[in-house]
Amino acid sequence: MKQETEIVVAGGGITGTATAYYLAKAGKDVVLVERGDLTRGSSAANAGFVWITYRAPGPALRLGLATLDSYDEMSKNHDMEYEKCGGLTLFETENLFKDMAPFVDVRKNAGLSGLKFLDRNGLLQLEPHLAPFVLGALLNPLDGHINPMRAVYAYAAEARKHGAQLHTGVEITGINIEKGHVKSVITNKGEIKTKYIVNACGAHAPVLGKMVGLKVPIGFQREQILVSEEVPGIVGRPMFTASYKKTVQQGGVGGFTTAFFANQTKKGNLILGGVNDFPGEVTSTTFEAFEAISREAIRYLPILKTLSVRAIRSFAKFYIHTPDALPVLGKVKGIEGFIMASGLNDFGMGVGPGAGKVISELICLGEPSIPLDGFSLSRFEN
Amino acid sequence: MKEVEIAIIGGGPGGICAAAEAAKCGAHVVLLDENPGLGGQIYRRLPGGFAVRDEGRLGKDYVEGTKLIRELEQHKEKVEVISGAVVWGVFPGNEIAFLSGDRNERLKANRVILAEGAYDRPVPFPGWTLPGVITGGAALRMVKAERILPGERLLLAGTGPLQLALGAHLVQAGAKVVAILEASSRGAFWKHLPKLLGERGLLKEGFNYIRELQRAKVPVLTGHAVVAVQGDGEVQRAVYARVDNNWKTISGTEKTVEVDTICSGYGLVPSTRLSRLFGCKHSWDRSLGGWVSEHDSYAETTIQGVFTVGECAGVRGALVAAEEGRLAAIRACQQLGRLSEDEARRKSVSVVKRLKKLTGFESALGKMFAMRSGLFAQIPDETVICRCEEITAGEIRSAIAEGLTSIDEIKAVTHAGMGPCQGRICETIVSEMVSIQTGRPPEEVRPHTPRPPVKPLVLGSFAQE
Ligand SMILES: Cc1cc2nc3c(=O)[nH]c(=O)nc-3n(C[C@H](O)[C@H](O)[C@H](O)COP(=O)(O)OP(=O)(O)OC[C@H]3O[C@@H](n4cnc5c(N)ncnc54)[C@H](O)[C@@H]3O)c2cc1C
Ligand SMILES: Cc1cc2nc3c(=O)[nH]c(=O)nc-3n(C[C@H](O)[C@H](O)[C@H](O)COP(=O)(O)OP(=O)(O)OC[C@H]3O[C@@H](n4cnc5c(N)ncnc54)[C@H](O)[C@@H]3O)c2cc1C
Repeated sequence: MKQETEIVVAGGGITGTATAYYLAKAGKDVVLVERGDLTRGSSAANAGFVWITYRAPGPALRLGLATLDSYDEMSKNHDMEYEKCGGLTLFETENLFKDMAPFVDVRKNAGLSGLKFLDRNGLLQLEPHLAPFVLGALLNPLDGHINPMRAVYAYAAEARKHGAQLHTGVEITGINIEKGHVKSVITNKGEIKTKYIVNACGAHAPVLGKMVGLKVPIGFQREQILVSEEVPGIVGRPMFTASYKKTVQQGGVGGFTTAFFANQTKKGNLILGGVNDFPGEVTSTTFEAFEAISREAIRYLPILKTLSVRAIRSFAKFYIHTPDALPVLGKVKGIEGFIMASGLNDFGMGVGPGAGKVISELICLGEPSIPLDGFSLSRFEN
Repeated sequence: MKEVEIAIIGGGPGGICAAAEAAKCGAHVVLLDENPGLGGQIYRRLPGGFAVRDEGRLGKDYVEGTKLIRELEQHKEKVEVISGAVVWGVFPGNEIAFLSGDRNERLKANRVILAEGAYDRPVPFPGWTLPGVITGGAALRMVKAERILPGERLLLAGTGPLQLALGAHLVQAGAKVVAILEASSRGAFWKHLPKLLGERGLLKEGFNYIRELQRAKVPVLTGHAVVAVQGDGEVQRAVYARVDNNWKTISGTEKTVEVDTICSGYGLVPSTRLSRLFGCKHSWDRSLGGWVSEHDSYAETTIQGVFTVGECAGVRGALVAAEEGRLAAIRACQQLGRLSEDEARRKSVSVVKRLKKLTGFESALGKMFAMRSGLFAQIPDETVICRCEEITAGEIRSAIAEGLTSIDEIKAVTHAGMGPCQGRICETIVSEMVSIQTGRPPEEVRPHTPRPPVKPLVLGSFAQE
């Protein structure tokens, strides 16, 4: 491992690997360190939705659009199983059509001109297996899906190709600041002198922040998912319901929420979700989640019962959230060289590469192509 | 949720003896096994529909099995046997989830004894996915418990004494066994065979097997292994050759033989899915078959109240499984207050003594018949390794060359291990390949992070609200 570099990127998820790639491509001297391996973070264990529909018009949506461009470019050399196949928000009540109308209008004028409401018939033409209680949907043709692990490894491979060093099994344990400037990072494998450190530590971004005295208000919950055996042709595009279901556990403690979503991989495995709860830093999966996800999946897609489809895997990871559901990107006040690239909530796959690109621009050019003011850490100061 | 004192998973000799002993000590026990009847691998019962007039003719194992099952039946009021119960997950608080028929059920146990057994070690060679290539264990099961012949002209390839048992059973049943290929060298094999048989209580049977094989003129070729299997849509020929000390083919010694079936019997791999789900600490020991859950001398794992007995704790045969099951039961009963410390000590003395005798020389011998890496080093790039996802050796090697060295990482990128078998088949192969290519010992190759379900689970098995 190098003992001196210009930039250390902390975290080998989608944000970190994309940042390292863009920096290396711009000719920078970059070292990325990841405490586990590249499958450790949330980027290797998510549903693979590449969704931009829910990004607020303006800079957030532009980060999403930049991400789609980035995937298109990366797909030329890497099979990330990326498909711009459209994405569906499912409606179970008539009211949802009305409630969503203003939401759709503003986005139509901000770059998502293809957004479209589908009635039951229109929806059935696309997704014939959905149960009758689903009355319609919102379709965004620009949404799609990706194999998140392949995406991470693609950015990692390209970063290496452009000269970045990537080290796994290296954990940052401290950061030296002198006179308000980043001087070096301390790791379990030694010290690296550096001018910049990019905090792309996902759910652990607050830990890194704390090392330099910053309060980073990123929380996380556990999200659980089931994976089915290969059953091609069940759903044509990623879909989720905006309606949550709350389950209070016996005794009234704990409890979890369930919201149906489904996505189908190239091979035909269904990714079925999702259950969220707050058990702390735990990534095991629970019986209750199996039960809740299975039931919801069958309720929305009764064919899963008819075909006796089987789950072959489950997984859980940290789904991170910020108070305003916007990412935390860019410089921080008072510490020159400390750059935030975290807080990607439930949209890391739809924003991470775009964020990596603008962070690289911020470091290389001083001025990013998408303004980051709205994403600064200081917005939480009050 | 139903609560029990002791839940035992696996109804082979390990599980049966654990259940019987625990019941004798007064504990209430649930014994879960996925098969229609008890017995596990070695003592598997005949399928329903068979009427057995003379058990003796089914061999020593069958009779032994009946004895153990009878012992258990004497404690009916204490032991609930749930057959056809597939345990698919364990969850915090010793909750055990299982499918019984198409229904999902759950129980909570104060103590858990894992007796999952082992499965046949997969060893890939060109053509190993052709119909007609089966594992040695599966072949044994077919002749012994299902009374079917897996083929007419068979070649046995692998290592260890179970191959001789298989050969003899096949010959008895009227099949033509063209040869038994034993990868170990001649000296090693014949010198240690009697000890190994004795340890498994098979000495007399073992010599009967050898006599049977001699009578049928079945050659046992030591220092040989199968190199490739060929055929048009099914097995028609096998290529075999001499191997060196590391079990690598010595080129120029290849021979071809016409067969319709290959039984590949390279020993067993301990099943550790459930102990891994429990979070028990595992360590790697080649002579025990690979990764096994660490445990104290009472078979208790690093997770308090969770025990591991029999082949899932290391491949050492049915007799060890049985004694270990008893020992774990005694300890669990003591912890539950069913036995005083004194009673427990008294009860375990004879069990420990028998276990010591059985396992005295085991590790040296285990090593003798343990896998060597040569077989894995020579797998051609085009050979499929992950059968569920059809991932080849070449794909895995290039992932390793790119710097991916944990099983999880290789799975993430290549999909090897992502199919319905959850990596049971390819995990051991991939870790050998990583070890060979990186020069790191296998114990440093991090295995899968296990997740439920350990066996595919029908989504519709949960009752709708
Ligand atoms: C179950 C689930 C489903 C999801 N589904 C989707 C989806 O369908 N679409 C979508 O867009 N988003 C989804 N998300 C969210 C998405 O996964 C995240 O937004 C995204 O992965 C965040 O990427 P990241 O690179 O910022 O963080 P991560 O991928 O978590 O990477 C952070 C990395 O930093 C490392 N690290 C932490 N501390 C240190 C340290 N001190 N030193 C070195 N390294 C360190 C960690 O090990 C980790 O690998 C889902 C999340 C979950 C949990
Ligand atoms: C296919 C095969 C055939 C064999 N034949 C012979 C033979 O003929 N002679 C011989 O000496 N040795 C044989 N062996 C070796 C044999 O494993 C041991 O001799 C002996 O059976 C070990 O006993 P055990 O109690 O440890 O495990 P096993 O006898 O293997 O019993 C384990 C039991 O647990 C069940 N089980 C595992 N996981 C679950 C789960 N998740 N849910 C529910 N049930 C579960 C299994 O189906 C099995 O019935 C064979 C091994 C295999 C794999």
